[in-house]
Amino acid sequence: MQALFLLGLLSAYAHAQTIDFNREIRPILSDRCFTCHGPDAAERKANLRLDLESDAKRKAILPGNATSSPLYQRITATNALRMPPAYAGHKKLADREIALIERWIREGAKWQSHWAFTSPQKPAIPTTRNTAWPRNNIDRFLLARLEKEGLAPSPEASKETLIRRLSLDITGLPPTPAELAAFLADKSPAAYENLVDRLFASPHYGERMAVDWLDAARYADTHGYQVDPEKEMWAWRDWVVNAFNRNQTFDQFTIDQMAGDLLPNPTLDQRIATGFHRNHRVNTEAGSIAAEFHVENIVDRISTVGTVWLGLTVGCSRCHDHKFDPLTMRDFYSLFAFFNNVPEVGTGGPRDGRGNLQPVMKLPAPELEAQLAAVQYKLTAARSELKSIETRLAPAQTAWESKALAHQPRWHTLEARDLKSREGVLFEKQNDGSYFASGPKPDRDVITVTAQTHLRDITAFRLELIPDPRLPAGGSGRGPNGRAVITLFEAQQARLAEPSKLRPLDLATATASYASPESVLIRVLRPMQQLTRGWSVEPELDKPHSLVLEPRQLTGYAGGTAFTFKIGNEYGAAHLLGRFRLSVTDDPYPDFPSEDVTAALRTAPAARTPEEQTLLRRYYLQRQPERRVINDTITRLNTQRTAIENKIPSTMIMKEMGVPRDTFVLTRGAYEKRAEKVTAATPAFLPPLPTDAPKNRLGLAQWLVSPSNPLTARVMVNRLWQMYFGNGLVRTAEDFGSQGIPPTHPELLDYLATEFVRSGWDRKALQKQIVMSAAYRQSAKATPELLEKDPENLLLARGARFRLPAETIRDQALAVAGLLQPKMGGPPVKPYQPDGLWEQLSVIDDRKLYIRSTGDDLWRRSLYTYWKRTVPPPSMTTFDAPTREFCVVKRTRSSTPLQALALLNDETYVEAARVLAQRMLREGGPTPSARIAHGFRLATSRTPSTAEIAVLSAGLERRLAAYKQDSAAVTQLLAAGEAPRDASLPQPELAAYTTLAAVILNLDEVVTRQ
Amino acid sequence: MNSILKQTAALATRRHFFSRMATGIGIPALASLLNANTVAHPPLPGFPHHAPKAKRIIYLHQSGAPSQMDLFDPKPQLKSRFAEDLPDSIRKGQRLTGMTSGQKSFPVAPSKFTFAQHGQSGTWFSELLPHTASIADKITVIRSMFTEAINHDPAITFIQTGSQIAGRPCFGSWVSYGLGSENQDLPAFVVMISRGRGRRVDQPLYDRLWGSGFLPSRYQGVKFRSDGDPVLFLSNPNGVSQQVRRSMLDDIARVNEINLKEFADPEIATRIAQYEMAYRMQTSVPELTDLSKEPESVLKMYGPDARTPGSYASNCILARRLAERGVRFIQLYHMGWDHHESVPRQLPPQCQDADQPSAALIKDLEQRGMLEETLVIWGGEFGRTVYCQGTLTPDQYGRDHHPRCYSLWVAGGGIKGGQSIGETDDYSYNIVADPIHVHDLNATMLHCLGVDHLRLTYRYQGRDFRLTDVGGSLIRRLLKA
Repeated sequence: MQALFLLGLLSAYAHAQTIDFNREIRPILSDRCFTCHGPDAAERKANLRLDLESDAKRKAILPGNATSSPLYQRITATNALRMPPAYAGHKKLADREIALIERWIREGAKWQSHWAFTSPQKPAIPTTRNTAWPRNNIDRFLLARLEKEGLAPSPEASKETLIRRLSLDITGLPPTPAELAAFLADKSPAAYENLVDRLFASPHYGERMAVDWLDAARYADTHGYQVDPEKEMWAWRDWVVNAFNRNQTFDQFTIDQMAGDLLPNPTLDQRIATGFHRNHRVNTEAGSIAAEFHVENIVDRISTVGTVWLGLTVGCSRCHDHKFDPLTMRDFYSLFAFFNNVPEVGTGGPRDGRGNLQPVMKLPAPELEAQLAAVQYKLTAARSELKSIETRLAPAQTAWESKALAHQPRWHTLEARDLKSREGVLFEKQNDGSYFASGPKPDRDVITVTAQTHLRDITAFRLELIPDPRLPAGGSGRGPNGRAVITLFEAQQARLAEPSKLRPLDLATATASYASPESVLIRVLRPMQQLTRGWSVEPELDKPHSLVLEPRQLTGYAGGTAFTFKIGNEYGAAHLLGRFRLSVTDDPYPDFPSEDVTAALRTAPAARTPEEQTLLRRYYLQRQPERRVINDTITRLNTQRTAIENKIPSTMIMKEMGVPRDTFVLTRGAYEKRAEKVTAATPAFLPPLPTDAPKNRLGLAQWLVSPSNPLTARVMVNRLWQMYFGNGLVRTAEDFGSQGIPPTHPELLDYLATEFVRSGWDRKALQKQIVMSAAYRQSAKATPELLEKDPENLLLARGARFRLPAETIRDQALAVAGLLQPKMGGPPVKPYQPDGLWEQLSVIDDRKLYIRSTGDDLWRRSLYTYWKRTVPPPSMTTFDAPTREFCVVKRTRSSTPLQALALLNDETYVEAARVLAQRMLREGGPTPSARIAHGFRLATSRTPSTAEIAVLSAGLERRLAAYKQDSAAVTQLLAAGEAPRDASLPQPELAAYTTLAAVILNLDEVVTRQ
Repeated sequence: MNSILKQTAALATRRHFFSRMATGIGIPALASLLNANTVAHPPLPGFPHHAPKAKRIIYLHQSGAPSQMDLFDPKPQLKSRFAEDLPDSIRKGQRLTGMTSGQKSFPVAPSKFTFAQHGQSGTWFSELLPHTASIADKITVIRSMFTEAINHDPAITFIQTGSQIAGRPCFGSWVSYGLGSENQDLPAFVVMISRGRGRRVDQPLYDRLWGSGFLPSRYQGVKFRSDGDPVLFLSNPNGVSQQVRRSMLDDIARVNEINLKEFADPEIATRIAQYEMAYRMQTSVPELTDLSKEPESVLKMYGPDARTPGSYASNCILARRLAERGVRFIQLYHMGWDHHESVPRQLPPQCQDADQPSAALIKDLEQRGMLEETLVIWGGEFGRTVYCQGTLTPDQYGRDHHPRCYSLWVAGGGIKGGQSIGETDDYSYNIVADPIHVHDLNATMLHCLGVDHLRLTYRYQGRDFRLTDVGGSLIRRLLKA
């Protein structure tokens, strides 16, 4: 339908010749009839298929005789037989469409198979009346069509326009003044081609090209879905940039990403490349069902392959046969089988130190690997020492066992030097060294106790709850029935000599003489914001009970130790301490052993099970002081090792399982509804897998780029065309099926596709051919005639004019100001972004999450900006960058007030304007008009007209007058951004020029490539 | 098809524009002529499909899923079944989330809160919602909502876009696409977020929820923030006065006009208009978010948080102010309803945040005669389980996600208030009468706006997509005769 509309805008071209089935009839049948009379067997009515010539002509169409054809009779019926039926959701056929169908049948109902599903053949090169204009075959195809329409191409654009257009299109950066000057000075006939060659050889070419590929591959720095944790895939991104720069052929580019791991002896790069299929989102939300998201992830992979390589809406056949294209559910799940054999977990499974999910590959990091080896060496030594210590200690175990049950550790009561309650509760010391609470009775409280000891090798602290008749029900707490709930026990320590140098003490375990069933002792040591749980002795409230807390490592300084304890009662409802005592011990066995341990001790040695023997041996050894020391060393080394390991970058890759998973058709696409079993296969309506191709991802990749595949080359060529003309020859870059818009220039598309394959899938060569054409070099100025006849510029009788992509807008501003840092690759960076964006939407509301980069990393190309899927960088999404949650091959292009606000007020652009102003003042010459011209030229590559200079200099003067009266405003404006300020320049002038530079950066011409 | 119609309309305007240009009318005048079409955009041709009852929607999304059997769906008989295992005849082997599917038992946790009937309608509310109870006769409680997703992200995505899979336009984007905008100075679709006290650390939200999917990005929701600029990049940089800004904008417009004359690209005229809209927003948005002129009596009605920027109460007042200014779709998200841990401890403070402002909004709209033209929706993305997650005592129970039934309420434009719809079984586990799917609700909401949900479509990847996907039927009982 869309196609008809677009073409309808043109002259009566179509009426001059016989009706083209693919362009004029199939879209109508597809849009209005195929839903019930098309490929989907389940929905088919009257057993009639109008997508198949044989079926249609047997049952519904009599070629040459429209009025006798049931199809025509039904679409013109005036009663209930009228098609499409009148009920909801079906659109009527317009009179014009009915007339077209009538004429088509009358003229013989000539059928064609869908244009995109037959292999492109190199068409004859058309001859044109005007032979002077065409520079290459592209022009001959375009001009032949223009001549049919009675239109003439536009003149060539100026050299200034061309160098800016080429530089922005090919590298995403504007030309420098030197590049501009050199090109303008070069009067040789090869000047243009030399410029083109230089740009394609620039490393910035790969950076520009990568942006579109990252959209298609849904590349990001986080996993997505609402939890959206960090991951690390920049090695894959750098691989893409590099692949473009070395002009890797598209067939190899495809094979590496689809199946690099399955190549014989894959290189590191080939394995990194397979990350393409690991870029999809992963739902790590608690409670997600792994089997469900296993399916979702693979569906995402297939849909992406469908869009990127085949230009097909493959995902439509997940739940039913495709409504418009001959793709069955069976085809869909046969494709599914190719991707179903990766050793992965649908909800992610454990993440490595970089946030990545299995299968994952560490990247080479020689320095870190050396550090790791050193730690590993020490670790091995410490472990063997541990073994020998254990052997030495073993004989004494029997003696220990005989006394263990009766063991009473010796505790030393701690006297509080200071005891403070957050809520002003009062504490009174008792004769037994305990403290009794009185006074205010808040709902919640935290007390802070400081105490000292000279004890060394401290193994534990003890908190006793002591019943007291003065407390409710004679319990040990101040809450209902004498309850207290301990929700926190935290300790810090310092040398007695330096009591202010407090360090946190790592308390590892908590055991109690008794704990209520609701108690969660570990929460006393590791409180969670959500969970005010901890230790309570309900219902034994009137009995004394103890909680023993053991530090991970022995502690106590020579010369004495000062401790500060925090004890929390945050359960609410005044579940507060009533009477308590604190003590400390150096006894090796201070804790309340678990029931398993005591049971084993009660059992006669000969009667113990092997498990019990192991348990006792471990319990005995672990608390021996000598072993603890060496064990602490091992713990420390392990921590070091993990820290180093977590620094080694990694990247997610594809891998094939030894035994592949079974794949089934899933009824209605639901993960748990398995139907018939299928094996890996390509869609039946397309050419088969090459006979020698393996039935795995590698075979699929080879099939995608086999010359017999009718889609891949067309789809890729179309997207490259789209980069240079703003739209593809097929406007629906994502859909080449029967619902897509047919190509405006089908022969040209086929010519380019066949040339592309013939060149060995050489992308630079194809792009060069495009930019060398006269069509590309045309001026973008529109005439009233062209606007009337071809408002959408479908026929390209003028140059394309469109707003720059988000990345280019920012990169250009940085480049024009001279701020852009050329460094390529590596981990992503976090440039300026308004505060609070991540924080407002995230799980945690009180921690700063977006830590802005500093220095040069503020001014890297936007390609390297950190991409958080749930909160993507606003400076990018405001200008239509996708969220990177799913594959996108054509961005929308909008014009909104939010874009104006961003370009005027975002710190990035205010800083760029300030620095550009410095450049204008320093480099531009002595007069305002020369300086204005300099800034203008940096941003547009051309000299401003007198009228433009007049507007800009008048504005500059107005604002200069204002800033001369307001030094505070000058200081404020010039404080924008971290880039150095030039204090030697007159500051009010600099402020006024900053506003002028901002005006320039906001011009439509500057954010547009024309 | 609609996108094409839209293009046709836009092209028609452009043609008009250029024919005028030929007759010598100045560019600025023409730019303002275009402005009417590019900024406060009109409805799509043929929209609305029938006379609308509501002009706009205020959607009070309670993110995390409020517990239906502790708020709207009383099951007093469950008291006697405390801690009994949920019968298999009820559970029917239906899937559970990974958080409770490993539990050895599924003990019934009766609500500890008491319910009473309110208003002429006798609608049931729990003691946690006294203010909502006071508007019982103005709202309709639906107790038989159900959805397809069982985790937050897919479920919120589903109720907002009609699909669990990311990439489709949200409700607000569909509405602003179809019905356009009434205000020259404000976006058509505004989003505001607040955090509840029930669970400070809660499920996060994400920009995609107010994204326009495959619709052009101008239809995406504009998020108003309580910290910093209410709209991103709204304020002039430090040291740029409004006079300086005006002077800059004049220069930008003049140079753009020179370029427009040369290139005759309508996009240039559009950009000139967008800069003017941006300038107007710099005045209209701060005026909108300034609550200092709200009378004391109004602030009091919305409760103690009314003056706290970014609170749910304050967002509810802003919602009314946006509605007064003709904003088409006002989306609130209130976080903190995901009470796995302890419903008795987390739900009461959460309700304190949400109850009074929600009720106040309805009363406020009614007092101003706006309730009849404003559709208000209050609810979450799914319900919660009758069985307990974690430790169960009469005073302590948590609840997991439950997609098979839940409750929400709707009020205002086109809605017949003062009724309860739908019925669940004895365990509030399965629906036994009047099941209402998310698509049905969305279809009905669109109907109130004068839109036939089957005809609000957008062609993408060869298919006509709609908010209700391939489902949705009108719930006639909800509608006023």
